[in-house]
Amino acid sequence: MLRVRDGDEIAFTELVETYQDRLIAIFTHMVDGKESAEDLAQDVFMRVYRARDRYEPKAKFSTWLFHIANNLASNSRRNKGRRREVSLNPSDSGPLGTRPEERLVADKSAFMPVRQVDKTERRDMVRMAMDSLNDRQRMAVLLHKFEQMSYADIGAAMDLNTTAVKSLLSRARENLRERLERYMK
Amino acid sequence: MSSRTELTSEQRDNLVAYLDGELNEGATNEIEQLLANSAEARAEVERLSTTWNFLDDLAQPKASPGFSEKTLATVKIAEVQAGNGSRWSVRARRGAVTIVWIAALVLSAGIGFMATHHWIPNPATTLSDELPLIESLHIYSEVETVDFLTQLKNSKLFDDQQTQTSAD
Repeated sequence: MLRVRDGDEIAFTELVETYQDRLIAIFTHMVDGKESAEDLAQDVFMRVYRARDRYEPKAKFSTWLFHIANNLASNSRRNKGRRREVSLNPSDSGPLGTRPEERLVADKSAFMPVRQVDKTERRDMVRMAMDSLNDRQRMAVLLHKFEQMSYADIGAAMDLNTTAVKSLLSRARENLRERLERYMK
Repeated sequence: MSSRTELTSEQRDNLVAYLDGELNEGATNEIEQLLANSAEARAEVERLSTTWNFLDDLAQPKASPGFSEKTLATVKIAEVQAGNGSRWSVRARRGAVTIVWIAALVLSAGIGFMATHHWIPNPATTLSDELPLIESLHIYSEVETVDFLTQLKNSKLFDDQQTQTSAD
């Protein structure tokens, strides 16, 4: 990032290529659809580039990057929440057919304990469990699980103290356990 | 600690933090003691750990082909637009500064004119205004006091001469 600050265009290209998949992976679980995730990731890089002159290496670059990402995801969810009209009626699933969660709701056997489930189905269940978390819990889980960020770094990225992060992750994992334990063998 | 419900909220937080390697030495020892004594705590840790591993199944989508090129192009376009915007703002700022300087110069000139012509007395003007007095000063110097002039006026000695002069 220091090279980017000094006007090195190649360094910025490298930065985009290094972080694009990581940002898109996070955003995909925070907003609906890969297209929205890519738009947000692009917005993050735009903000990084605009702020390059003011960048001071006080914290890890990735922490700063995910701080921007967290703010954008929160704003996006908030704006979308104001506009969206939720319909969970399976008959309104649209041209792409039933959603994964609707398939699972329809498939009562999916709720049977200790049931063998295939990988796709389990992925859907995990996705549903993640969707059941609130935004802050989900972001903390994603940063910890996929970015291997420490509680301190998660706190810096989400404007929380370490104790709050600890509590947030504990609640999140408790919620996930409650949702998923029926699928444990 | 034989029942799951007996785990306190703090212990549950610490169990998760223990799994994440985020506890200090003292708290780690406490949790390890709890795990050694409580089958339920061990089961809880096992469940939390297994749940966490479930997240490995989450999809990790990657950027679409051409994402980086599109992003870099978008950033460049935005930068150029911002540059154009800033050039206009620089020109506008320079224009405003020039106007302010011109206004300041005009104001200074006005204040200078007022100061020299109206506010500060000019000795030369005073002299020219008092010229008739100065020219007759040798006559006035013969008069010793103003009282004498007053008495002379009251005596009306020169009234006829004044009337005659007015008639001429």
